[in-house]
Amino acid sequence: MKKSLFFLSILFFLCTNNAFSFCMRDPFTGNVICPPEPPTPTPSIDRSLSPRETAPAPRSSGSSSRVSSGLSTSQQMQLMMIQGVLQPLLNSLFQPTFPNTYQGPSPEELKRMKEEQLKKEAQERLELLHRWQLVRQKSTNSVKDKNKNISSLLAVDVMPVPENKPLEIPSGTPFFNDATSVFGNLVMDKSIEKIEDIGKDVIDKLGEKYNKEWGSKLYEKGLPILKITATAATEGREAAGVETINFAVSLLSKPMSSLQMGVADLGRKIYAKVVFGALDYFLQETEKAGNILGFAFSKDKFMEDFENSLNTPQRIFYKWAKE
Amino acid sequence: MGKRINYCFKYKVIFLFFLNFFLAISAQAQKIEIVSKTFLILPEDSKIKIKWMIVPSKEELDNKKLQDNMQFCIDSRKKPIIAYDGKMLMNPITGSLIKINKPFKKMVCNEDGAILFSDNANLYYAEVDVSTKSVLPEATLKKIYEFPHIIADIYMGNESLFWVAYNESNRSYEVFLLNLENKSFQKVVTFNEKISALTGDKNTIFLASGRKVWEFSDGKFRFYYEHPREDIEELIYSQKTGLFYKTAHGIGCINNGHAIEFLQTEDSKVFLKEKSIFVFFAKRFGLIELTDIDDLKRYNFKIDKIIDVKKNI
Repeated sequence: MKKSLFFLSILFFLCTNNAFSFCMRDPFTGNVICPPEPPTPTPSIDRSLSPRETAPAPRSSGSSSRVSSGLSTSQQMQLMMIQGVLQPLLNSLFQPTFPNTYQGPSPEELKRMKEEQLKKEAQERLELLHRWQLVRQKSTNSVKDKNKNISSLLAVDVMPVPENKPLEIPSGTPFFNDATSVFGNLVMDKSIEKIEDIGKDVIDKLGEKYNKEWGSKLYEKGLPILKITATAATEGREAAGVETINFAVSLLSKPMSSLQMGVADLGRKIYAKVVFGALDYFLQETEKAGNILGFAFSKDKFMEDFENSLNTPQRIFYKWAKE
Repeated sequence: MGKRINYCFKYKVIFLFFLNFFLAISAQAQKIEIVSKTFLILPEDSKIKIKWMIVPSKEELDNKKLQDNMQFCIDSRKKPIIAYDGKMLMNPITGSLIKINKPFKKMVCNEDGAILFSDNANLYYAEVDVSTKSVLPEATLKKIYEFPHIIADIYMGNESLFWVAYNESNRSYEVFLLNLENKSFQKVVTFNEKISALTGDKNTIFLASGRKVWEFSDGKFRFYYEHPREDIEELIYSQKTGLFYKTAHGIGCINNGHAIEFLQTEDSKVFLKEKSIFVFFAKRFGLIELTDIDDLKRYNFKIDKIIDVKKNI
């Protein structure tokens, strides 16, 4: 304690008398910082002193202090000794508590690092740009191809524009007596409306419609069929000389191979099997993989979540297909 | 003695087995599955053949809204695509489902299988998003063209695409033809009645309003056909096969003002590709292909009268 007080008093003395000043190294920049130098006193020759003694006090470089020329040699010597002892102590006192031992890169190094960084960034930017250009080119080509494809598919010449005012539609349209009007709407015919899957009865009803006594037989493919012979006007007829034509009215049958029979019996489940088969298989496999690899995956839970994610019409459709 | 009884028993068993077998075959032969309320009316000697692509189910889908929400076309690989509710595409043959990230109102396919979508504001094509992590694959709609104003509908013709917009100022329907070379539509005709169906090519446009069909070519309208009973819902045209129509209950071929409604059915969707016409039965989820449909051109003529209904064929 006494020792410290002693040092501090000396320090106070030195500072107040401007006996010496000191420089410090900036802990962050590493530069040496010195207080501004006092004006250098004009050298004067003291005749009382020997030439050796008149020589100015040697100026130490770096952190050494300058000694006032007004002191005697012995005083100067004393001060220099005290300074030599005190300097490390003072330096340590004015240094931060935890001095940063890393002095940091030099400005040259910093400059070099910055240049390298910039170079690296520029390189990365170039690579990105190059990659983006490739992707863009690919994408553009793809779109171009598509457009070209669509364009070539849909390429049309511009038609001459007619007058903008709506054209008048001729009134009194003729009624054509064609096959469509002759046969009427068999589907909507009230007499057969409620008959389903019974071909013979349908054909009989058709016979009633035409007021003809006629029968039906099973066609070679198992279809009841009605043949109607009509006289045809020759105009517009390519096959010259033919004046009558046989129209066959037939119910549409489903394919009847043994495999298709089995499939047909499944009804709407066929569709579900086809559409959801792949997904179902995938989920089964995932469930198996989960059991082997030790992660939990429940196909039922997944399907429940999947169904919940559907909106109402989708759910109706899904349920219809799945049931 | 015991051996003889054993032989007799054995032969009886075999005989009974074959008897049962033949009876079963016979019973199966009698069990004919037909599609209810569906009739084919074809000239007897026509070249048209029937191919089932999807066997129709036995039960009917009794949900009209659901059926109405389905759209149908055939892609470039001759596979059916069914759009459901403007949000999902499905291929019932390959069993694939694709979600569309943006709702659309209409899907159209040209003869070569290019599928386009419209939400009445933009025209899109779909691109499958390979990076999706969801269970169902997703497709993104990519914009091709932005319509200058909200349109009424788009229609596919023979190598051409049309759209119709309602002009409130003169209360008429304006028909535009797409030119993808310079990504523009050219107004081709104005019609003063509501257009229910439209098709055609760069030279000729067929449009339907109510039960009537009109032909527009060389800057003039010509009355083309009138359906005797129902409104025309759809018109399909190709140079190879001619003009077809669809009503609520029938599909027919029109030529020179005469028509054959060769298929009568309910709730069908129809698509024309090359020389085949594909009919999707929405109610039963069945799909049929009628090949060589262009052969009907030979039979479109005026019928004077029915002279005979033959009892047997």
